Amino acid sequence: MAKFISTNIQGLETFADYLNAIYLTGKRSMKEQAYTHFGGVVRNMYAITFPMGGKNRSGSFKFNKNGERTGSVDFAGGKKAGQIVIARDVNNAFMTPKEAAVMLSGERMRAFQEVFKKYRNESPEAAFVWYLGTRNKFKHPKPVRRPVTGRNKAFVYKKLTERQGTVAAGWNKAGAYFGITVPSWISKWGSANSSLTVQESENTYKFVAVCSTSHPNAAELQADADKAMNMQKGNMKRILLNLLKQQNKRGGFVSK
Amino acid sequence: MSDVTLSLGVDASQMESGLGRAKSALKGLESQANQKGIFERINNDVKNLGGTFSTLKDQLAGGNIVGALATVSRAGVGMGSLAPLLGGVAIAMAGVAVVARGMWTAMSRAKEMRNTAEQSGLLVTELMPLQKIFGQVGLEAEQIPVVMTQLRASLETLGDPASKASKAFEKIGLNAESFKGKSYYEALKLIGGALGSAKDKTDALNAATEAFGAKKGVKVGQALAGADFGKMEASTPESAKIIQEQGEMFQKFQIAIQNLKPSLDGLFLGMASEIIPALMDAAAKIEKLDLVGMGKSFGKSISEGLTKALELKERLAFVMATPAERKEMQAQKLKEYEEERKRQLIPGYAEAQKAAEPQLHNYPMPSEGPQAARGATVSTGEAKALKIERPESLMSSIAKMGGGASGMGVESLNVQREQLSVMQQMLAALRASTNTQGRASMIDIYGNSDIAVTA
Repeated sequence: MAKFISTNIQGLETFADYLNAIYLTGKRSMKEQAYTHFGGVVRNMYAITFPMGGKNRSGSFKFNKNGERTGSVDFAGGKKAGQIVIARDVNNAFMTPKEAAVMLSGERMRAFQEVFKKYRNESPEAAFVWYLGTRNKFKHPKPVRRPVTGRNKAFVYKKLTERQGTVAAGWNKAGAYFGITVPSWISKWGSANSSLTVQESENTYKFVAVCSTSHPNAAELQADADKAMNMQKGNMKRILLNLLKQQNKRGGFVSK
Repeated sequence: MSDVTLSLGVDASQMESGLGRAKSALKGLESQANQKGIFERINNDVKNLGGTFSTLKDQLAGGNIVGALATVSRAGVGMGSLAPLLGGVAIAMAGVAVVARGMWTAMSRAKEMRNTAEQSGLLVTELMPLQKIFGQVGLEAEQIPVVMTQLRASLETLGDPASKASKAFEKIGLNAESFKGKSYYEALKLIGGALGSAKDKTDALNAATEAFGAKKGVKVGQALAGADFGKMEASTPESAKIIQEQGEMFQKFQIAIQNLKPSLDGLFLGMASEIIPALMDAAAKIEKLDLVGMGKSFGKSISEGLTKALELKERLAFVMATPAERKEMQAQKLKEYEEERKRQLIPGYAEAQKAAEPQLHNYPMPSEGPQAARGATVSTGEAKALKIERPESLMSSIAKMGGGASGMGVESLNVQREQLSVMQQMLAALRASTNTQGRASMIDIYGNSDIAVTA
């Protein structure tokens, strides 16, 4: 008759609790466990950091055939989502004469044409600088779109998409330390805005990773650090349950 | 520019050093056990071990875990060196596991010996004297099957008078008729006798070379010629007979408990999920095995010791269960208790329930209310020992003992509730001990005299 054994995990709350429990249950040293799971937190940070993160800032992860989330960061998906957001923002900021011809009429069209005269000969760089200086104002509430030439609007979009990966590159030093591979559109920015301090003694492992960014939503990222740790706790819980199930199986028990 | 900071850290110094010491001590213990030859011990000291484990069983049954530790230490399996390092119950577990491992080693060797005997066409009782005889001329046991294969090949050619073997054997006074109806062992004895009494040593060597091959023939011939089979047979240990009789059972046992792997890597969760289930499994299977050959009392005591481990496992399971599961478990225990009472009180009830599946174990769960107390089938003392207390000194002691990882930033060190509960279970068991040595050990283990005093 099969014997059943409960593999409930209760009372584990903090990241340290889970790390302790995995260390005590598994066979690997605390150093290996710490390296693995701290690395997991950094990987999660990549999945949350712009342009990754998704609409609800829940992280961009790949999915397997069964539709289950894997631990791999969906960098390509993140980049694509970022491009969509950039296109939306640029559209919110600018209106070309072609768009105006479709959307405006009468007095509003005449007003647009009047303002457009001012920007007809504007350089692309000037349009880009204007965008960077004022972009946050275009989000809430939705503003009146500024007239711009089609060429300049395309230039601003291109410039912005080229800059993708600068924020995520802030984790490059930590990523390199934990052996996390990142795509070239992130790695090309190097680690100038990234710092990592590692303190390691016989049994003490501590690291502080700092991502320096001028992104207007940096405050969101700071809050996401806790989210990344919680995600890793979820991963650790799954690992712990699997370890217990394996051990139960070896002992001739059926986990429930 | 603004900074997003991710800060993480862990300090596992105390936990690492504690586990490191425990692991090295266990390694040393294993090595000691191997050096001392558990196999010989089991064969020669069955009686003593049986007595020791009977004591251990009684102590475990009485909740005297620390006393049981002392008994294990006295049994000479080296558990004393672990006592200051680990919690009492963990050592008791390890003690049982180490002994079980000794049994495992013994049975592995027995299995090897039986395999060697089968490959050689001999019984184990025949192989053992041969090992000694061959050992005198530096031939190892593994070479016996090779020698015997060569002998079988030579004996097969004896029917042909023109064969080299026939001619060589004839010179020492042996022929095909001499071997008729004889086992290989008897054939060896016959050849040994003929070689020893051969007048011409060259003929004897030739015959030996033909019988046992060019490489080992001379050595084997020398060994057999000078061998006193009668004396060797008389000194063959009783274990040879046991191995011959119980060999298959050993093999089955090994397959049955191949998962029995003492692991102290995870003292808390690991202990609950790996060592104990493995022991439970072993306990269930040992009960069905016939270990008469290994000594009835020894096998029985081990079995009962493991059953005790099963109780602890159940207690741990209870501690780790959700409140709903606990209620369910308590209800189950109550039901079992009522069944037991009916069996005891209602004449003929037990017979009527014969068809029902018999229960392997019946023991109490840690009590949190009157239901479990009613379900308990133990003495008041034991029930008292199961009571869970949460003294602050205990928390600080455990935090000191197994500090472990500490989270940085928003997260700070919390003693794991599960570990705490498990430790409390252990302490509850330890408290049941009135043994002076036990109290001293507790101070050693927990570094807190308050806990020892409350014991």
